[in-house]
Amino acid sequence: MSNTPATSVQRPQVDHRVRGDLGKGDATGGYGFWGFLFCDMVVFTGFFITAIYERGQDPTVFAHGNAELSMTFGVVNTVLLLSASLFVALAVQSIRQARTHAGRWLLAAAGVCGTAFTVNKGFEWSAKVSAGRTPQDDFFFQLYYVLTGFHLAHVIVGVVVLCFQWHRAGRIKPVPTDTDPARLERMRTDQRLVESGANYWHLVDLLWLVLFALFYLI
Amino acid sequence: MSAFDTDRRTGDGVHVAMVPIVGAWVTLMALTLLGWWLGRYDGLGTGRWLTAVILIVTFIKVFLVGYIFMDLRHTPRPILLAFASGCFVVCMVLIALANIL
Repeated sequence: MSNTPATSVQRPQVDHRVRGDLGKGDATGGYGFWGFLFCDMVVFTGFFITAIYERGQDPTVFAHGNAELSMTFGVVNTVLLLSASLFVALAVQSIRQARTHAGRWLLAAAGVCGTAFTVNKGFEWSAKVSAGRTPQDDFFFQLYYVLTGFHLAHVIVGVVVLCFQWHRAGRIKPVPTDTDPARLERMRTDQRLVESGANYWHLVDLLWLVLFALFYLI
Repeated sequence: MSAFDTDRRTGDGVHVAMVPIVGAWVTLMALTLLGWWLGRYDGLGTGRWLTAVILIVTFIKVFLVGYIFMDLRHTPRPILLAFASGCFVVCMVLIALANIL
């Protein structure tokens, strides 16, 4: 028989957020940041309703405008943003599991996709302008340039945020024996910033999915 | 042991966590191809039904991005409910406007 005393083993306190095992009731990115994301979604919802309303007012102009847009550009841009979102989501998981190096490579890949989206959008716009399709032409192209331009501004901000995330992720260097509370708290803060930036990027992605449907598909 | 130790209870945790993310991306790609095909297809009769189907496919994609990529499955229920109901309401409003006007 064992003489071990019947005392329970003390498990170390582990931050579920940092370890990658999000506890129930934990808001990824924080409630405040989700409030900001919802506000942005509400603004874009107004744009979506405006676009579909104007389409109903002048279906012929919108049908002609839709036919003139290049589906190839639209699909390539969708694939680029969805792939960027994949890389960002994988980066967050990697960083949560203390695989910082892999996470930074994934963030860099997402940045390349975002930059490629911006360049591709530039090619698409220049092709349209060369063909004489400017915002002054009709209300379809006015909405097209304004809404995709506003979204493009979000993409550019998103790429800058990805660079910031890449920098902050580099500061997360976990050491198994590290118990310095200040250092651990700084790394937790850096991880929260990476998570919030990731959700901003996903917002940019989902807004494009609706714009793609409104301007290219219907 | 620090707070940054990798969780080993589920084996290689990072790979377990990545399976739904890659699965969501494959599904999103498939739905994008479906939307592309629907957008080019002009033989379904009334364009209004086609518009409704394309918008529903689009908002399924939007929900998938939120649920898997934005990790809404792990956030508090009110945020998930707000996002899901927002997707549903906006999709229905856009379908209604596309059909009424």
